[in-house]
Amino acid sequence: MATVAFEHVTKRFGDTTAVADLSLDIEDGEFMVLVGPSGSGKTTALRLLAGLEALTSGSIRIGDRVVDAVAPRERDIAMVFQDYALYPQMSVRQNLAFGLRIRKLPRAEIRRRVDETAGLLGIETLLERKPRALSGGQRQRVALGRALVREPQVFLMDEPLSNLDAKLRAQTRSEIRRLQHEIGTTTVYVTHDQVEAMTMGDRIATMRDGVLEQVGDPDTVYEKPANTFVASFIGSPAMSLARVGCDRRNGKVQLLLGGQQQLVLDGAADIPAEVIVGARPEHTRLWESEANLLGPIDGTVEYVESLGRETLIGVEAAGSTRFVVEADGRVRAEAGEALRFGLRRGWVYLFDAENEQALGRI
Amino acid sequence: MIARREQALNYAILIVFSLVALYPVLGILSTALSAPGDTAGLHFPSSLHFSNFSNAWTEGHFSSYLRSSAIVAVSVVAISTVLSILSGYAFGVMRFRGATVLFYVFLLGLMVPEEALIVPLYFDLRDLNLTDTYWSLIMPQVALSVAFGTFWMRAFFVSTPRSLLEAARIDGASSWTTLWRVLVPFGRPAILTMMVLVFMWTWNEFLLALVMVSKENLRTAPLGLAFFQGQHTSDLTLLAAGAVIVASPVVIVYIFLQRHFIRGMLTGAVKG
Repeated sequence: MATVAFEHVTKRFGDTTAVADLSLDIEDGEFMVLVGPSGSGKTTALRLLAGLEALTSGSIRIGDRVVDAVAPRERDIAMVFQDYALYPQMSVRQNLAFGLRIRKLPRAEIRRRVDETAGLLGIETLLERKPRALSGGQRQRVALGRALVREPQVFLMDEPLSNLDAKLRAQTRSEIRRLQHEIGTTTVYVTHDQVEAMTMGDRIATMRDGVLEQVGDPDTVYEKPANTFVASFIGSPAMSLARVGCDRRNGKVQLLLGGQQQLVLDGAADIPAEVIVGARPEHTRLWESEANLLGPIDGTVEYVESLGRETLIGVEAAGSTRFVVEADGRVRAEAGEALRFGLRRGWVYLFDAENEQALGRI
Repeated sequence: MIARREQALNYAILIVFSLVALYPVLGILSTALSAPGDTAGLHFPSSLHFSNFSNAWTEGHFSSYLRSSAIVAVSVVAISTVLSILSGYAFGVMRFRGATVLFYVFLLGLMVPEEALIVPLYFDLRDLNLTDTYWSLIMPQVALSVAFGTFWMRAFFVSTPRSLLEAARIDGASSWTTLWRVLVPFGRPAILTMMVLVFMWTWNEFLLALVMVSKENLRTAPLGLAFFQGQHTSDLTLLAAGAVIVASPVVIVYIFLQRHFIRGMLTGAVKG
């Protein structure tokens, strides 16, 4: 086990900057998730840590050791690849043992560790099979096992669940989390799936265009997003964002929603002339049903998703912004209908219209 | 119905082409099995004369020719396979300065015809006292085969999933270990295909053997067949039997490895 530190790490491929001045400290035993859309530099960051790419500038430490010029095999890491990268001609047992044999561990020790890991993952019966005779989920376990069996200082995982179907993904998600808790090995996990990030990470590092936008535990990132990018990326359905003007009259601030609509704010907060208003679905409610709402806002229903427990209603309002209203599961609506809704006080986010940074909640 | 008609047409075309390909082969086979002095060409022999083969074998000294051919072909295949795997790995996987230029130099070996090289090559080898040795047959053919082999193996290594290499690197394998323990077993179809092709070309090589070798006991099978032809122009059945003897090792190798061969060809076609 070890800490991991990125210190002003930059990676350029020709003219494109994949990772820009990344600084991130990962604690010993922590489960850190790097999340972001494709092209955000998260996988590159992981590959830099693995030593599969060379740094353009900056420095990476594993434990107390600067590893910038250390070969991957000497970094004492193990990696799970998106496509599993199992050695096709070797049996599962040989796949697990390969790294240990290269390190010239005693035969008995290799056998013990392979059996133990197989037991931990429930793949004892698959040990003599070749990867091509395994299902996707089984291959995924073997790939995981190949990392576990090495007992490295750091686990690196590059979207290991993206090739599984939804149900298996949910299962494996919690299992990886459980294993990591048990073993306590520092883990860096890359995903584009914010649900994985939220459910698995001790902390989440959200990246965009090679830049680290925010680091924090899932609750913080969800409830206090640092900017509009994090706000809209984390959470599903995404937070609705509307660019609106501000008007100050009689000591009160009004947010001009377009048309004749406006939101009157009680606290005359110190906000600029133009802001971006954000609201998550669970804080966007039907006007009739709840008190303590800012509004009303009138809109037109665009789509309805009945999920059983709740109904999500996409509403176009405030110019061309789509808000998602979360209503009770029994609520029914038709596309094209007029709908009146409000935003829950205390949970309406304001962002600076120019730099898109968070200003606070109202 | 269109599908069925199309299928019938496909079969018809394929059958025509296979007949075109098989006609001379069957012609040789039937001639080889005919009674000595019988008419040549495709016909059903009145009785099968397997003795033609044993006559050709002893009269034509084919045991000596086949031995020479085997020594040369096996050496060329073994040496060029190892070298091609190594150079293909370097060009396909490693990044080093001048890789592109060097690769084109290798490709030059594919483009320059043997006929253009053979005369200077003869004088070079004669100066080294290597003419009339197996080396004069083995070394030039290794060089020619490595040009193709490098091209072939590079295409294979480029098409292997990068993550496989990276997994091996992280697992602690050196380049050498990664190559021999992960990639070579993985690339067996491609490697076997290359070996079959090189074996075929080496086995059938005529010009080089003609120029480099004058001693009877070093003559390879195709060369021996040519001399045999010179002596027995009138006896076509004996000639046909000799031709069958010379061709059969390639056919046997192909039959044994054809499953891999087709797979290797397809891998190359789709990914290479």
